[in-house]
Amino acid sequence: METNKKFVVSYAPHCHNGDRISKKSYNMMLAALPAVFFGILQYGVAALSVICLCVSTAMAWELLFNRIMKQPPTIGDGNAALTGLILGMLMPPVVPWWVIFTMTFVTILLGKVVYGGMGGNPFNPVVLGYAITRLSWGVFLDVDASLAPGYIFDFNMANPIVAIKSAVWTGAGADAAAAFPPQVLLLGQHCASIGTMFGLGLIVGGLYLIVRGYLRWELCLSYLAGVIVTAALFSAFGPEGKYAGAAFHVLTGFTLIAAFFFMAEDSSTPVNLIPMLIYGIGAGVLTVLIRNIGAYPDGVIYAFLLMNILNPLLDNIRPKALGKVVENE
Amino acid sequence: MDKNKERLLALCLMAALFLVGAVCYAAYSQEEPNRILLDFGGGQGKVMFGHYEHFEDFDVACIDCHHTAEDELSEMQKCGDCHLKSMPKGDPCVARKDAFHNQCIGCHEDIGMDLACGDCHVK
Repeated sequence: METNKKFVVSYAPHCHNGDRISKKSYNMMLAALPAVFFGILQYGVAALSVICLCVSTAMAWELLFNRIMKQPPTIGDGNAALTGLILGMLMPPVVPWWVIFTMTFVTILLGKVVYGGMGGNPFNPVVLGYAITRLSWGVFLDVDASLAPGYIFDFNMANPIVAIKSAVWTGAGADAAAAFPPQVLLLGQHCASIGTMFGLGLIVGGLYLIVRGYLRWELCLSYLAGVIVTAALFSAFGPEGKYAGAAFHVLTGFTLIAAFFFMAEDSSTPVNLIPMLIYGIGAGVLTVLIRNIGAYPDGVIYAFLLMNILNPLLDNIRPKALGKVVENE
Repeated sequence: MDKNKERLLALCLMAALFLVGAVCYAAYSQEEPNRILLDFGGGQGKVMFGHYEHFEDFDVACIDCHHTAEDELSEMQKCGDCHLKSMPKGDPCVARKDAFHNQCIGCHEDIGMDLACGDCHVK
């Protein structure tokens, strides 16, 4: 019997650095830790419980679905834990337990399991799970509402991305954004979800992922370039003072976590150079468009969902195959 | 690390994190509301009200707004307990929106602050 395998057909990632999936997952969790620890430090025990419950319930749901579908357990690869951790990073510090349980259930089931598990998912599970939960129980994921009881900081406690939304409509977005200079946003002196407060931590984690080969810099850079150029164009050519500048858009909301952690999800991102650039720039442009002229304060989640839908089409832009067809005479 | 060890590590991680999460969740108790979010679904957006800023920075007493309380140590009623979204005809109590507008804008005008909608309402 012929046992030699000449062709192995497998799902993305097609280009990797030789590591196991578990190593990638745990390295990504390591990269996220500076931002996560800072968030827990600022928000305290409540944030710790949100992060712990997100990670553990995501793993538990995956284990349960493995059992139901009679598959070998896949929680050892760390992907469920990573999904839970990134979801937790997007959460405000106080979230009811049942919202966390439902969100991780939806994320694992609709984001991964229904597509046959990791690698088959067309959408980034975190983005999909967050979007569904946000649409269903938006008030529980509202950072302002979550911070209402019990938190007092000695810095401006308005969530920047929400604060400028109404200011943009009254034509004073740039003024509102001036209350949040870049150093304040980089050093986490503003209110945001647990894992997106500390801009510097996210950047350090992202650079670690790029250096270790877990994140393609083309995706990350093209996304940030898309955000920067679009925000700069709005700022330069829009009505004077109406729109916030590029630095504000890069350092607030989910931009940095998207650039470094959403982009490192293999299945929902393209594998070739030109599609990567289109994907990144497209997501960046959509992010700022939704923020500046759309209804939602932060456009990252919907920008990524839309680009995820486009991804299979983008993947059709492939390099020309090597060699040539020779007609038999 | 082989697959079995990875799985064991993941199971331990899951159990430990769930325990920590559940204990922290149970132990965390809501403190007194220093900031409250007034979100009534109006077109102008929600308003963030800071108790702390008002009594620390502007020297506003609790009973200046919670006018049903006899003194600072009494139980404070919530605004929405009496000021409903719409009041029955003939009820002397003003509706919630008017109560907030009268109280907030009136007080700010008294100290010379001319407010635009967007100064309080955020989307």
